[in-house]
Amino acid sequence: MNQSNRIHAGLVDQSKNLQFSFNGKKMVGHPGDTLASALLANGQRLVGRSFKYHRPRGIFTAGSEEPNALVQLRSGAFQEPNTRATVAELFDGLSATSQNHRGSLEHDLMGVIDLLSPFLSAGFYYKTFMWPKAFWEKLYEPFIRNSAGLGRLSMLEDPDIYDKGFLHCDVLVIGAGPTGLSAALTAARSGARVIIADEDFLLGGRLNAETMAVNGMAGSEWAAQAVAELASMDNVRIMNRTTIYGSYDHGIFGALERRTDHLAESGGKPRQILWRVYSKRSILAAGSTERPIAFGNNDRPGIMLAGSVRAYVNRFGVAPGKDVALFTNNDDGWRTATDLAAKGVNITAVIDSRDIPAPASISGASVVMSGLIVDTAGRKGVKSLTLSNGQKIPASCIAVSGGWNPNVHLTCHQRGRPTWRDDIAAFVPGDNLPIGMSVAGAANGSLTMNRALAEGHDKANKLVKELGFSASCKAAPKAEDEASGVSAFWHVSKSKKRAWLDLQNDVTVKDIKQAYSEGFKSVELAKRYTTLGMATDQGKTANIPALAIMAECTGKTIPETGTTMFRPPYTPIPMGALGGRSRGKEFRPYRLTPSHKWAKENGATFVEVGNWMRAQWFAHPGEKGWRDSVDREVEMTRASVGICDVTTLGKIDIQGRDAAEFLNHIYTNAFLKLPVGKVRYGLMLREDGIAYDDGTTARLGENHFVMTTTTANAVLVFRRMEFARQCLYPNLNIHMISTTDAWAQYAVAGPNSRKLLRKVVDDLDLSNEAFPFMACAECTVFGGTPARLFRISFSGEMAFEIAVPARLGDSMMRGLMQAGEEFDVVPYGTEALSVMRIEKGHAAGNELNGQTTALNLGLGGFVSKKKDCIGKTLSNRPGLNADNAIKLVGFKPVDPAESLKVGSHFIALEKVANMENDEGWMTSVAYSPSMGHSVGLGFIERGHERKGEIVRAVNPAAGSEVKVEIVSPHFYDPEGKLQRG
Amino acid sequence: MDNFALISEPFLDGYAADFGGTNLGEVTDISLISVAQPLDGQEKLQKAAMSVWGIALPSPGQSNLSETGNVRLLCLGADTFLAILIAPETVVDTAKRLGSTGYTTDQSDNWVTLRLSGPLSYAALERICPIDLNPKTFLVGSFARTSMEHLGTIILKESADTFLLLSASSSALSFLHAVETSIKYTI
Repeated sequence: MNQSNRIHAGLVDQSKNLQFSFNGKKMVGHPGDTLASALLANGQRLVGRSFKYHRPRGIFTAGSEEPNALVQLRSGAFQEPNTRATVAELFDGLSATSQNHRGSLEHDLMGVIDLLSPFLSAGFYYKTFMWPKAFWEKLYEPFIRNSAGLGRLSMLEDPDIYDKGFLHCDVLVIGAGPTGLSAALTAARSGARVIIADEDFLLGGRLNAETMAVNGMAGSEWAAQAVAELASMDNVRIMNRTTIYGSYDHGIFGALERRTDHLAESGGKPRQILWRVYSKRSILAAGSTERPIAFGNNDRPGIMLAGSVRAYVNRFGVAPGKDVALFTNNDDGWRTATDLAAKGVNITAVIDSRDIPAPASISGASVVMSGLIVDTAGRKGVKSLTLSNGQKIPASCIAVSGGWNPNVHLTCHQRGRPTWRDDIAAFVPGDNLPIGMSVAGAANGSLTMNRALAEGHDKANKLVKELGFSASCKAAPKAEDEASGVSAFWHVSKSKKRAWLDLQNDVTVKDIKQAYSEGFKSVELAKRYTTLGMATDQGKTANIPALAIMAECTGKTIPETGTTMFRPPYTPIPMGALGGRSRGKEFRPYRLTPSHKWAKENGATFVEVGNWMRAQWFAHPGEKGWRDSVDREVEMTRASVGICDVTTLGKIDIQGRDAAEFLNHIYTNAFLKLPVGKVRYGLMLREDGIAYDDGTTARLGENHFVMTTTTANAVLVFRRMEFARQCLYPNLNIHMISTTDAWAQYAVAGPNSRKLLRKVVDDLDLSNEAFPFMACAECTVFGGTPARLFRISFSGEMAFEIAVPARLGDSMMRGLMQAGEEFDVVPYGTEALSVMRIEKGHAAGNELNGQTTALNLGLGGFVSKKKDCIGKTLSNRPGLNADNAIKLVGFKPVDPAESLKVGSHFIALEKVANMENDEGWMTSVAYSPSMGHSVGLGFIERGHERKGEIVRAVNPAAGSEVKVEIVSPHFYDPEGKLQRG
Repeated sequence: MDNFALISEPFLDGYAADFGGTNLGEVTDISLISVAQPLDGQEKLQKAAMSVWGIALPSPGQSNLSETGNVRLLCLGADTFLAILIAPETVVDTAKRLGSTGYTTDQSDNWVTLRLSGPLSYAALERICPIDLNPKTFLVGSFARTSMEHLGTIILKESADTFLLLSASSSALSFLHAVETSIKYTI
């Protein structure tokens, strides 16, 4: 296609060509074009089909408010739907396709829906698909799902990369139009650190789209000079292609920077960066958005906003039509006519709804004051309009201006409410702005160029003074104050045809009136009933006209009727940008144990435990599944010796003269008299008396303890203890610090564990007499390396845990395995660890689940009656001490061949399995190689009194029901002889 | 077992890389010791710090460097300090010399340390560091505790474009990935 609508004007570089395609058609544009301007230049008015009725639609605006011109950009895995052609910067090789049609764009088979529109008005979903009920799942829903949605995903993984970041500034200037540039220059000249951001690739905003002079030069030229000056200052960061999409607490803003969207390929660099901007002050200079006037068939391709038509002519050198008609209720609309006429574009008519003398005369154009358009014609593009007096006027483009709405969105993100100004018939920012924010220029309702420039300058000076900088002595840039009179006029009520308010959601004036008549009188309800203001444009061009229609219905004023709440983001953000670089393996940080490398070399299967990667089991050749490996690890550990990396347990180093007393408060059981060289099991309660963590604490010296916590609660326990230290017991002389990562710690368990460690530990008597169960010592290993040794057991076997500095951890694992060769030592993973702890009846996370008490856990005796501790008072609540309280007990299947299911609920034999008869639940299960059958732990009412009783373990989710006998939770070595041996 | 000796291995195998003049590497020649001030023991610890290292206790958020350059003391909180030691200073010797004036804990293996230096260091850190590193306010010797890519981090400015980054040793690979990726995305 040739560029039939290109004119020799504007800021695009017409000396260079860029090839691109639309629906496979080859076209040419220039650097500086958007996809929209290039399409218009090539005479492509029809660019898509509407969401609901599949009506032909064209380009409506020249900015991010675009409701119509949504296209799919790129192809294959790079394909992105719903890209606004009006902000897509043209590049060589760009490939775009239209969306939301079946068959070709020109002959959309779904266009038949438009014929059914009388039956598809607002709320038709809710009325139509109610009956017959059976049709919903089989017919209605599949059909709706198939028809709904704009664009198509490629269903391939997004190959682009994204990143995030943090920026800081004294003053953030949001928008780089006349107001923003004036403000940024003023703030930057004072020495303040300034960030100026704009969603456009060319800074200047309306300066590039208008013909008014600034400081005696063309507005675009002044803008370029201002940008050059800002770029030369090292206290300024200029961010074009960047949308400030949200305003958050304390001067924090979200920004999306599009780094490579304007390039054919991203070259391995992030396509987009999501910034968090910390500002001391901000100036919202986001300008304003023109709004349409609703009239019959006002949605045809070629019907556009007047300011956008002006931008296409003045900035992009494109005439959107050969013969253009204007429809306006304000003076600004007339400037489109004069600008276009000056560029040689034929103006067929200027129609002004106001009953005033014509503000200007346009050569060759009919001027109709008090005029109204009631209809248009042209199936795939407008060809003519019809006035209320029946006169038809030819027009391939109708430029419409209903006035301008200040872009107040970011002032509302923290529940600020805009206020109404009658003189401009628009909402302006209210008083309750986000902290540190000022609003200037058109965003503040100052809709003329000179006022925008002055306000940007003045407000910036005020802000920098607040921050302690000297105000700039340079005067504000000057421009003419153009005419800007407006008379509120929202829709042509004389139109009999459908008058469109929300082009993206196909919502008409009639739909709003119908919603009102059906009782949806609140703006928020009407929005949801009609879908007005939803989707990618969030009703930027539709909301206020719709509000005005609603106000007409209610007989109230617009501000009395209300406004919709604006929420972030201002414009859409790709999901990829929200995810940033957090994807795949790097979705979140991972932690490796010191023996990870060794475990990998030895066939470990890993499991994520929190952020930790832990060895789950070590498969041997010939083993048919994980159960074979786990059974072997358990059996060999119980028969000889096994080694498990238990580094992940939280470790807290506690020192101080009052450390023992502090622990006495933290734990339910006594620690004051724990001898040096001894370890004690301890239980912790929350303030409400519920158990939340357990572990062991070793006393290495009179004033030195080392606590271990569960892996999951390491941070929580530390945080609560630090709170207790600082706030509950500030007079105790103690200090604590985490050493979780500092030590590599290994459990060495089994009857040969002592023999193995005798080969490793230097000069320490490990006999039962000298180093009995629950002993601890600081020692050395392998000829002098400092280590810590604890005689504690989670498996029920005679066992030790030995710790060395983490950097020696890999070597230590290899040393332990070498030392254990003669005992057929096995490494064991978390599965075998879990099996052995269930066999032994130790509570773990499944039992300490935030709902259970010491009494429930069978640890009531651990809550000392002789001392106080955190949670003790509330643990005495009657409700937690009822006679029928649940108790932790063991369960074994009556038929040993049956396996147990975790999460099963216990029901008496003769009762119905329902909530009323629920007596408790199974918390942990395992196949026990030691017992030869499944074993389980769980809570059941009065469990400790019911040993030998048979109940049913019912699991409707797994479809299982097993008869189980209530037994002691200590399946393995209930007397504890082995661990003490 | 006479035929076996433990070998200390750096968490990142001594990683070092040059990204066109911006360098990132694991720091393996330092040791770390935390020093906590006993209740009402500020005066004694102050004297001990002067006597042992010749430096005063810094205030929270500040760090002091010894004249020899072998000890940098960071004040992490109201009564908590972290000393970064370079040989011949050692953790064991430091603990002995401080005696009961401070509660000491060896932290050398709790942290992995990276040094980032060069022209891209600021731009790279911008992607992961929430702290304002403005050279006019975050001066040489300044440090901050923060989190980078969800990992707790201490960032210390050693010179104009050189930063020391300390994070948990168990997540060393994730931390390295975070910093390395930032540099690669910035080039």
